[in-house]
Amino acid sequence: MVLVAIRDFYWRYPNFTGIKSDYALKGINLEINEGEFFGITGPSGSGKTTLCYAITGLIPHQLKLPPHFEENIRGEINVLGKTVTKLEGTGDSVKLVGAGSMAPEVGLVMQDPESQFLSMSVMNEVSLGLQLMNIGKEEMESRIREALDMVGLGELYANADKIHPSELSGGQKQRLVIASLLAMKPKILILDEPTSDLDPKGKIEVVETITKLKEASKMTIILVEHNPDVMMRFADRLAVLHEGSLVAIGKPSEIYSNRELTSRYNIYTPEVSDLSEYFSIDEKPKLEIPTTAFSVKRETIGEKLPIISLNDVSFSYEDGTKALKNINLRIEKGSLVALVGQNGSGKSTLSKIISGILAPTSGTMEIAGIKPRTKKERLKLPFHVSYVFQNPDHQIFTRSVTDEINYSLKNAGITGDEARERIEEILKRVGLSDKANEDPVFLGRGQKRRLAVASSIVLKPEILIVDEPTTGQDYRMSMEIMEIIKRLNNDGVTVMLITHDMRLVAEYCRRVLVMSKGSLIFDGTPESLFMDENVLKLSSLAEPQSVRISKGMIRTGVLEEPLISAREWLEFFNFLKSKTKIAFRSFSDIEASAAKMANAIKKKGIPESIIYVERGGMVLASMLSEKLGGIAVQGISASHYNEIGVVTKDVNIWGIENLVIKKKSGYSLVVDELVDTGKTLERIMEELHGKFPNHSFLTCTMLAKPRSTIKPDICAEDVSDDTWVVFDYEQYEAIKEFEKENPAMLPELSRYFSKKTEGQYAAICSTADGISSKVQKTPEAIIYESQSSLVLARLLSDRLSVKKLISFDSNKPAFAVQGRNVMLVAKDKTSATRMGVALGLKNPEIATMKD
Amino acid sequence: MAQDFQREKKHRVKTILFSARADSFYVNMNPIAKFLLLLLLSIGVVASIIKPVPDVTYNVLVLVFAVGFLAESGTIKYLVKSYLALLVVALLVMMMWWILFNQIGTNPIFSISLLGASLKVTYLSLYVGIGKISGYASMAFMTLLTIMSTRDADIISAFRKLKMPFKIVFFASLIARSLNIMSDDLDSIRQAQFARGSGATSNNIFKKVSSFVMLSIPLTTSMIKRSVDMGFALESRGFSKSKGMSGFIGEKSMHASDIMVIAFGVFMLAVPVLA
Repeated sequence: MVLVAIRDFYWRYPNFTGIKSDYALKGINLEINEGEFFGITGPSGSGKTTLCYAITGLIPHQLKLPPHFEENIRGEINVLGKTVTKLEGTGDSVKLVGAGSMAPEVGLVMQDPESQFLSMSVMNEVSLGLQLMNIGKEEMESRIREALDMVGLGELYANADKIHPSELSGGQKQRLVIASLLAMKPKILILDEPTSDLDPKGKIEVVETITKLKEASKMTIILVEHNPDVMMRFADRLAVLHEGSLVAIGKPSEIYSNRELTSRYNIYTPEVSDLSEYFSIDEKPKLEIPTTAFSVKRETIGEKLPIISLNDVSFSYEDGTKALKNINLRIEKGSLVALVGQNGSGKSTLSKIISGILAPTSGTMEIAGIKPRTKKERLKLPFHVSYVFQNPDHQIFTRSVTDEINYSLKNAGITGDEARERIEEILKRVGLSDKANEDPVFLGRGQKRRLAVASSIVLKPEILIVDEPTTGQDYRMSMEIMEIIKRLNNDGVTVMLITHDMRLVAEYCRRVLVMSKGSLIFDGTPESLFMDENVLKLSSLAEPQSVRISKGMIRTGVLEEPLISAREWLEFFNFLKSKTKIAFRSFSDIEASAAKMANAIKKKGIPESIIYVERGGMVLASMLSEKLGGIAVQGISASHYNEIGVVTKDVNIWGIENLVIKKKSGYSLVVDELVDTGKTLERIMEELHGKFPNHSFLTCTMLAKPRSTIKPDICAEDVSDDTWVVFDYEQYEAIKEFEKENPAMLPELSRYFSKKTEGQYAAICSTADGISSKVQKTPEAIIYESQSSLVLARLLSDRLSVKKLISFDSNKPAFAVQGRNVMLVAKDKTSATRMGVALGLKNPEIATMKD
Repeated sequence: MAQDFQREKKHRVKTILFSARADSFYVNMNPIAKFLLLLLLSIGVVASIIKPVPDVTYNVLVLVFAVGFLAESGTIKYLVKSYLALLVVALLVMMMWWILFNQIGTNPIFSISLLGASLKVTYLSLYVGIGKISGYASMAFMTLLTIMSTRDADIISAFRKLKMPFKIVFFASLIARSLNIMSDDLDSIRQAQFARGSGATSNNIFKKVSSFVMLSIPLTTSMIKRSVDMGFALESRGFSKSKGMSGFIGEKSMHASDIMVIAFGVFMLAVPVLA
């Protein structure tokens, strides 16, 4: 059933100056069905809010219309079967008919919750509509309870008559507005950008409320929103408005995947959509090379002089509220820093202290060379630190664009030619030269924002603080502002960006400060913030979509570090496209390299032990041990990253004490098959040197890449940075990976692996195949006897997909084996039985070379 | 802070000025009784101070009453922080001026001659001065007590109880709410103005006045926008369709304690009038 039917509707706002304004809505034809979740999006000024007002009947019925109002309205709007707006008659007899305001059947939630509160307590606010409907007290009470429960504010009921709306958080305020309308039991609820003025927590709260509404009621919901994630999640259909016209309507997935449409109409798109611009489906990059070799290039913060220094700075408001608690902070000159946190976390207070608006209660600071100990010194700060407030309407003090910029200059005592030159230059810079004589009050929102920035930067500040530069603005406006800010930063201005937009943080900032309850709880790079679940949770921040995808890929091992923006993903895809080299190394290649390396090693003296890096180094270590005369071999597990990609520098060197300290002289060989970035090997060496300071170690790898941060002492061969090396014994692993990620490359792999393996390796492979075909239940771990059974264990772990591959240590078993399904791999049954006894296992699965 | 309401008992309520204890007797008093008491006590104090020799004991009793309930309502800390120093200085200056220009009594504590005129402070003038000032102080403290312990919602409720027309009550309610918003906007605008360097001209009185006048531009713009939003918000609750309002939950009715408070006020008024 169609609940909203709009036919060829035109609307022009009355302008009593005699100049006709353009139509705000042009020929709108739209039908919205019962129970539908209908989304409306589009750039700022496209008519989204006007359309909402028209559906509710506020436009035109609540506005003063000019005598010839037929020039302002055309078409018809029907809601819930009633005519809301329609013109009847012609010429002088034309009249406006319709039901007008559709309350309470249609509820409207606007952007700013503050302006929608009409009374002074939560109880009064929710009951206001009901009182106007003349609802009895008993029913009113039950409706209020029900509405508050619906929006998750049920627990406020007990104190509802004592709580002033201004005491609520942003999210609670907006939910209260929704509750006030729900209490009136509307059939249609219109939400006009309900989350745009909220902090991340508030956004989450409102989105959860919308989710609940969608799930629990059959209400028809119309949502106006810029945020593509919200639209993708909720909307059944999505309409795009542009300059008052409906330019597209369809499923959100259809709209957002239409790159031409979204870029033409400046629509925010999910981050993944940004990448479609660069890669069509056919050209999708193929994961045929080791993605872990990718390292994103990020700007590093150099050692520069601090321009902002805060030492133990605290601030308390008059009522005793501690807004800042012992803040210690250094910000380097020329940096672009993001300041994030919930509303009330202290970020605005901190910024106002830095800009001199507030004086700290205690602590010392030095800002741009000024130590503002007295009020006189503090008053100098605005000429060094410019603060652009969130609401541009709050910063317009004059009646022309030129005067507005001149206002700052006059305050600084800059007049005459210099002032004129600066005004001209700044207007040009922010693209407002053609608006120089216009009244700022009548500029568009984006233009006002640029004017606010221009009025601030005309003083050539050393520090610029910008509060929420992109809130409530469409994609183009946001980018314009950010480009201005970025250019300023490139020119050496230190920028502090107060924002809730994590996409902005990822894209533009290399340092993030997170505030919570007046304290600085995080100071680091965006990528480390996005990987720190605790801080994200504590500050109710949500990582951007790019990071969420990265995390998934890190978990599956495809990526080593998170990609935090579409730009970095693009870089990654370009990397993938450029990496096409695959190098295969057979068992005999390894043997040949091992022989070559053994000769080199002998020249340095026979090592007393070999430590290899799990799992890659074990085969090479085994061969080296044999060629050097049976040296003791022990594996260590090491990773520069943990399983989700966070740098942990986790190196387990436990269990090698006996091996290394057995002899007091000589050296140990640290073996790996390939040194790629070098970070893991570097970390291993750091750990070994730290734990055994009196012992010598030499590094030895079969292959090395030039980009490695550590150059192995002994190395058989160099490979280029963009080469993915696949070893014989990785056959199963490699095929599995390619089946999943890139089946197109399987033929090449199969061609290589179908080559007949030879000699001893072929025998081990055949043994491994035989054993693995007989295994009925996949073991949880394979424990191998050192040296003699290394290769077999490696091959079995591949074939059986066993991740835990543990070397046997009779003194300290690394894995609690009792009661578990474990496979023991040894040279013969006797050795395996001895291992089983030492580990306390009854009837373990045994695999030997003699099987 | 906001989430605290959900699980914990609400300890404080926002009042017209600052906040007060939620369970305070004075805060929960019916606003009509509260304003009536303020009126009765103020008339009583005026009756006391217009006498040739004011009743200091009466004035001090009212003052003690006011201070006592400022403490009981948990608002005294704001009074001490914000107004006390100003009030004490103002009252002392007023007393000095009163004594200076009301040369009464014959028994001087001390006297001086200035430009041929003799200025004296007598026991009577000091007593009368103290009597007058204690009266002013008690009225000022009573007024502050009333404002600091009353919520704007209570005032609207009182209007409704007094059967004032629906539109007037609603209009008053909107004004109260608008003032609240305007105060927040004004704070933000003043800070934005400071950030533009206007603070540096603070020593120049003309520039200071000009800066103050300039605040009206963003404030007006902001209030126009707010009023449009509030108008639409009002309409989306069905205001123009409504023919009147039903009563609402939580409206304070007159209790025995409120009647007793009014009776106390009447008694306190009778004392100076009949004495």
